[in-house]
Amino acid sequence: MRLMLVQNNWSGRAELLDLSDGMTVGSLFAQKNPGRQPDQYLFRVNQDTASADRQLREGDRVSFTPLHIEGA
Amino acid sequence: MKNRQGQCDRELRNFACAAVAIRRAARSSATTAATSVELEHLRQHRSITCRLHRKIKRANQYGLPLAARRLRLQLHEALLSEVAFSESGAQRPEEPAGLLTHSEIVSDLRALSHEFAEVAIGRADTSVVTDPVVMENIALGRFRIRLVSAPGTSFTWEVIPLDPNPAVSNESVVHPHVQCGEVCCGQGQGAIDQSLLDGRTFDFFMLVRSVLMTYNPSSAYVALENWDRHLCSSCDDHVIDPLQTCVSCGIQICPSCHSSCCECSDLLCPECTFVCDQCSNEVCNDCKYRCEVCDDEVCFRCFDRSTCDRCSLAETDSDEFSATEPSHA
Repeated sequence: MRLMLVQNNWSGRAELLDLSDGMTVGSLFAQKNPGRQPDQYLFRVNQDTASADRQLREGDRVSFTPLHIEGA
Repeated sequence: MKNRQGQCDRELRNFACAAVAIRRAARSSATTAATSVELEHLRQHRSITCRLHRKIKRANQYGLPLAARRLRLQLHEALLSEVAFSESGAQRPEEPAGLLTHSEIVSDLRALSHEFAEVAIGRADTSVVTDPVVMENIALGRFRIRLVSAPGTSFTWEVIPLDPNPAVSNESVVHPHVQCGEVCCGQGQGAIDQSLLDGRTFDFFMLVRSVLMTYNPSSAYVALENWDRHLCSSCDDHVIDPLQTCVSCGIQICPSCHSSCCECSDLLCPECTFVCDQCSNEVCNDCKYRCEVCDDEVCFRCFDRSTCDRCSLAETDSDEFSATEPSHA
C-alpha cells in the first residue's frame, strides 16, 4: 500500500511510502524513528488523532508531531 | 433554530474562507520562499519590522513625534519592500506534494479545537491560545499563537503573551525562547516552515506550542534561573538585589559594582569612578582636579588652588630654602 508520511521532528517534508499491508501507526513510527519514545509524539492519520495500534490503509496521510521541541 | 443554522453557515463560511486564504498563502510561500535563503530574508525582515515597532513605541513614550514619524515612514517602506519582494518572486511552480486540499485544511482548522481551549478562525487570521505555560516553577502565562495569511503575501505569525511575566532583566523576553513576539524555534524551525508551505495549519500550531512548552537552558534569551534577577550592566552578572543607577552615565549596576564619590556622595559605576593619585579616595569626574605641575588627578582634599598638595608643599619648601640661604656679598 502507498501512503504519505510527514515527520514533523525532522524536515517536515512529506514523503510517499510503499508499505506492506497490515502495518500499524506504531510499527511505522518505530521503523522510521528507532529508539524514540512514541508517547512523546502525537500521531495523526487523515487529520484525525490516531492511536499506535491503528491499522494503516492505502492513501492514508500520516503525521508524527513531537510534543516537545527545543527552542534556541 | 434559524439562528443556530445561520451561525453554522457563518462558521462554515469562515472556515472555507480561511482555508482558501491559507492555501493561497502556502502556495505563495512555496513560490517566494522556496530556498532557505529566501526564508532567512523573511525572518530578518520580521526582525527589522519588530525593531522599528519598538523604536516607534519608545519615541512616542518619550514625546518625540518627529522621530516617531520618521520611524513610521521607515516601517512603511520596509513593509512595502516586503510585499514587493513577495510579488516579484511569484511564479507558478508545481504544487508541492504535501500541500493540503481546501477540505483537508478545513479539517485541520476544526481539529484545533480538540487541542486548544481557545481558537479563533478569521478570513485571513487564525489564532489559538495555549494552556498556561509553567517552567521550573515560573509561571509564564498563556500565549496566543497568531497566523496571518493576508492576500498577496506569504504567512506571517507571532506569539503574544496574554499574562506576561517577562524576565526582570529584559521586558521584551516573555518566555526563554520568545522575544518581541518572535519565537526562536531552534530544532523546530524546518518543520514549522514546511508545515506552512504545505498549509498544514494544525501541525503549525502544534509545533509552535511544542516549542513554547519546552525549555532549552543552553540556548535561551534569558535563562529561567535568572528570570527574577537583574542584569548588572557593569559586570554582566544576574543579581537578586535591586540595581542602582550611576549618576554620571546612567547605567544600572549591582551593589558589588557601585562606589560613591567621597566629595559629593554620588553613586558611580566602575567606569565613572576615579581614584585620587595621592590619597586613593574615590571621586567622580566633577570632583577631581588636575595638578598643573605634575599632572596628577587628585581629589578636592589633595588639591590646593591649582596644584596638588605634594607639589604645593614642594614649592613651599623651595621658597623657605631660598629665604634661609645666606647672601654672598
